[in-house]
Amino acid sequence: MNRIKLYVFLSALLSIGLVLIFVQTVFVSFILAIALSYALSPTVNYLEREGLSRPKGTALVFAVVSLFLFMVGWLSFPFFTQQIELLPSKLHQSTMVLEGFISRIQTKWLQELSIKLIHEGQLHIQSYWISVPAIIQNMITVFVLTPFMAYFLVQDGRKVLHSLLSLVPNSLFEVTLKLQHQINHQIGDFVRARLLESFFISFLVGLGLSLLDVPFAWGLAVFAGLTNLIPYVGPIIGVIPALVVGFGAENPQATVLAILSVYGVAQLLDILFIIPLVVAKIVDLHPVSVLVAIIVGAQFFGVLGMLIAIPVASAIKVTTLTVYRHVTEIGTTG
Amino acid sequence: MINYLWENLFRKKVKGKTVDGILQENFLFETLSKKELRFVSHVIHLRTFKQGEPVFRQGDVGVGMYIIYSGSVDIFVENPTSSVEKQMNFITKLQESDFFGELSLVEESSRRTATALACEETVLIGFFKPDLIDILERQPATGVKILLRLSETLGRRLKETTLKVTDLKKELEKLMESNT
Repeated sequence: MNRIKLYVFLSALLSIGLVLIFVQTVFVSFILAIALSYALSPTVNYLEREGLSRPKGTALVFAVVSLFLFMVGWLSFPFFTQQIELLPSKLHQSTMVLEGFISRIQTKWLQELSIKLIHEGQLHIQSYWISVPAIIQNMITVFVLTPFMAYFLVQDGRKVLHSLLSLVPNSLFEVTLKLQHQINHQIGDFVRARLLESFFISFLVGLGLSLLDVPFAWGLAVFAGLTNLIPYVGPIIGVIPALVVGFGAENPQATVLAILSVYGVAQLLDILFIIPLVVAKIVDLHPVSVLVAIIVGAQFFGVLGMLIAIPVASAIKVTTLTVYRHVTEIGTTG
Repeated sequence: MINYLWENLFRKKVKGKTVDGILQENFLFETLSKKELRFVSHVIHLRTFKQGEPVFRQGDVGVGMYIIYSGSVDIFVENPTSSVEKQMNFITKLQESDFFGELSLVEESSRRTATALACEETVLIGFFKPDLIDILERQPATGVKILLRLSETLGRRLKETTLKVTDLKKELEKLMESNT
């Protein structure tokens, strides 16, 4: 009986894992849905404490969030379309300024290298441009699937977990329940801390760039917040589009310096306040692990893979550490 | 003396055979309203054990308590004097609606102090620390009611054990006096 239970439990986990791995959009949506559910669950829990049933609390939270996003989209749509219309001329302006810089470079090999880099960059942009329809199609699938999955994870996640746990054999049940609780708690803390950090960076960068009157300020801020989820390389990737925009300004050198200062201050405040207060408790990954995780993520799932690589790697690390601590605890005192 | 830790001091006749009924009759959940009981019944875990199957073993990491829904459970403690083979001393037999292992609900990294074996095919209601935390997070009022009853249970067991230890001390003193 116990052995059958174990086989059924492992087969269920394996089937879910295989479906997720082979259908990329489902996998990415599932990971994002988990992150979203961790972010929204505390509010639903609060409403439940105040006497609202879980389904009603979930519906209310999702309705308010959807309404908020809809309002933001509605209000910013004219602004964004105006900015996108400006994009080709700004990019052209930036390229001209960059070419001007390169022509002033005296060293021949450095000039050749710069030209080669720009050429490579243009080729990459062209190749990305061709795959834009497919990327948009995948993103639409992800944006539809993610809230749908997150809704049911928040509302019925516990029930699903309860049913899965009922398949665990008696001999492993208590240990599994304890580990599941610890892992769930740690991953929840991790996801919420990183999302808060990302929001903080977006807000600071958006505010700074708006004050400097940089075009696409809030779009660049959202991008900086998202890339900040990728440790070490994320903040560098995040600043690149802003620099490209900066080169197109009337006074490129001063604008680029000002943009770099905004990003620097945001990173400094993040390091000084957010990381020690919020993120310090969560798991730190070794730089090499981060690099490997990002490469593997990018290899399998592209840009979205880079974003989810770190949460997934951290989840694996938290799970491994918890299991290891549990096993060694038994070994030393049992 | 160890029986005082394991025997059900709160035993009552079981009225219903449903999970809600068993929970309602249990000392820990007695003060809960019907709505609260329904909430708890969605949190607990029903586990079935074969005859002779261990529910837990002495020294295992304990995560929570069990209430007997049907069947019976024998409690054994390892004999510390037996050095060659682990000899088990029978302590007590627990029956329907009895509960055991509640110390694990409050203890950090708790270890089981006895072995529990199913005497026949037994269905147990498992109520564990993560479940209690879940209740405290989602319905604190319900969680506090359970915690109060849990404290009362542990206090009563401590009181019974203290009384027994005092009696034993007195007996020991008398024995020592008579020997001298």
